[in-house]
Amino acid sequence: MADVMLVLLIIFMITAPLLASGFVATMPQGVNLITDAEDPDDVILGLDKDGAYYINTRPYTRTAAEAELTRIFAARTRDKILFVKAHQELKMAAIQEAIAMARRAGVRVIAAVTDQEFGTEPTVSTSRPGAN
Amino acid sequence: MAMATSGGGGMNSDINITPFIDVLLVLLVIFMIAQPMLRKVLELQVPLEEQSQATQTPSTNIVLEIKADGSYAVNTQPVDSARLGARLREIYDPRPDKLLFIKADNGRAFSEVIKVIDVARGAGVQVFGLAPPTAEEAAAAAAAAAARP
Repeated sequence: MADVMLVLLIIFMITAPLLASGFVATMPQGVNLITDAEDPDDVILGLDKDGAYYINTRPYTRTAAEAELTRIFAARTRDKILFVKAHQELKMAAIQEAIAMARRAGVRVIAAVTDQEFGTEPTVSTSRPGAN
Repeated sequence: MAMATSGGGGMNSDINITPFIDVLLVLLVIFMIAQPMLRKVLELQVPLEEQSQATQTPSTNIVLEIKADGSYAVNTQPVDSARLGARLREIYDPRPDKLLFIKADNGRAFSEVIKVIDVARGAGVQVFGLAPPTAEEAAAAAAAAAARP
């Protein structure tokens, strides 16, 4: 038993700082969502409940975030997709501003990260259109 | 195992592997949870920068509007929120292009827009576009952005 506890302790010791320093937001929920496999190369723009910007969980100021996104997407030749994790209660004004910024940086597709509403199943295909 | 020596027989030299199995099982469970990192997304096409000042969207496009008071309108016709899914299905069933433009008032919450996209996906829409802001909306947004620190 002590072994199990030690392993758990080590794991929580590793994950705790990640959780504390990273970005926290409640994703909006939906039913008919697209299932997408995570990729380490994905660019994730976070918008927390105060509207602060995070790129891949690192905090950025507005101008720094735009410069960083421009740098990332200028170097990228494959699909220019930006994953947006935004707090569900944010006003669209904040989202539109982020999208306008992403658009200036050359992003073509915004993927809003969502959570499956508890106890629901999608009624339509969960793959992205054109994928099959 | 300590008891086995009382018989006076041969030495039992088996290693006690139970704690190793415990550790391995815990690691297995952790990797099982961490591995299939699948997430759920809803995708929105972003208008190209050079197209953003497009004068008028062609009349064949369907634009779903979320007004400042939270009511919906499909191509400027008001639609009851409970009927939205059925109305979109009526529109999209005969249409070959499953494309919907979303135009949301800046005062509405992000979750409401996601809910609308979700309902529309359920009604058969496959591709979502963000309606480009009009010239005066873009100017107002730029002014608001400039006012922020």
